[in-house]
Amino acid sequence: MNELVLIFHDSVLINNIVLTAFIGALLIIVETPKFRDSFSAGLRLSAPLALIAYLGWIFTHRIPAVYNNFLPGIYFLNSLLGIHIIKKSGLLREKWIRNLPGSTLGLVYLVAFQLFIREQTGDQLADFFLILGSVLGFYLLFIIIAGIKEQLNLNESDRIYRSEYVILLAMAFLAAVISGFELG
Amino acid sequence: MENNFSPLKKVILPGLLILLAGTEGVYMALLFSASLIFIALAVRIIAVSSEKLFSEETGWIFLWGVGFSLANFLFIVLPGFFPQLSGHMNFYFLLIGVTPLVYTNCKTENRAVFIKDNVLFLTLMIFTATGRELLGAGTIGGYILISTEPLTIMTQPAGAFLMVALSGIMLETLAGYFNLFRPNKSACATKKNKGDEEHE
Repeated sequence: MNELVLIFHDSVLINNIVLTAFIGALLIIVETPKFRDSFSAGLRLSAPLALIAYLGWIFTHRIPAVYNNFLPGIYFLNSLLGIHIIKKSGLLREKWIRNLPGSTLGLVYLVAFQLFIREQTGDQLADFFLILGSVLGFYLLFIIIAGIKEQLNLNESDRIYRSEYVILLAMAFLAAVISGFELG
Repeated sequence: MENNFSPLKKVILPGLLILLAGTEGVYMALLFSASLIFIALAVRIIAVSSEKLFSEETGWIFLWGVGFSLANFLFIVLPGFFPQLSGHMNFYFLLIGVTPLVYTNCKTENRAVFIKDNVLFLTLMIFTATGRELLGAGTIGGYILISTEPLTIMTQPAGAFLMVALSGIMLETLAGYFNLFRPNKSACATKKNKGDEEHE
């Protein structure tokens, strides 16, 4: 039991999927709304992520090995389902850069997490806690970055300090802190 | 939303995942950049020829499928021809096929924008990878250049975020100083709001 709790704790903080595997970093930078709204928006992004991750886990570890080459295709189709759910909840509906659909942001995030799960899991009970912890870690970071963005927008007059680069710097320091900040 | 993005951000943000994950070393950056540009070119060609075959939403799903399939194909085929590449290819290589940067210019008629964005992306990848490898391991392309104790944090995820952010800030500052991305005159004539960002 202690080991499972440790796995859950590690996947929320020390092995946070955004800060150590970059999964969802773009989504967090682009899609974080005001702090107050980030609690529900984060939930609307995290819940489909959890669903798709568990589905992906089932396909990864339960289909016959002869179909392993089709797994990327299965992850892609899974991700389309996840995008559909996210769009139904009201997110990722707007156009982005050069009229690219906002759902492209969701696609990379969902596919990436399923590939990550394939690399990290091994058909064990602990995988349930690893996936749950990873999704919770994403949700927490989504809220934290929404708070940072709102403070920057409110308090900073200089454009450069209100830009996405400052969010990346904040993520760099957060990643350094959770990794133990080794210089050499 | 797009009006607030500088030309540099229109490359950095869509290509963020590859900029973070594919810049552990210079050779890895070159491999990832070349693959992304190849897939972007292929997707663009297919987008142009298949534009009228599908509805908008179905068309995008089709293009995503094409891009992801190409990335999978390269992931399987390249190590067979170039075994030395297999050490640089991880699961992030597959994500090139679903990286937004592959699709941002697939439907634009302006070829110059497509070329410019991909050249800028290649520059960013090399710049970021060089910084990370030099500071994090003291090498470039495996050749030792700095013999002092390296900053191993630069080869870790924190270093990736840091280097991409610093690269973006430096290049934005240089671009502004040398006025590299000149504003479009016709676009400027319609912009009257204070605080509008620079645009193409």
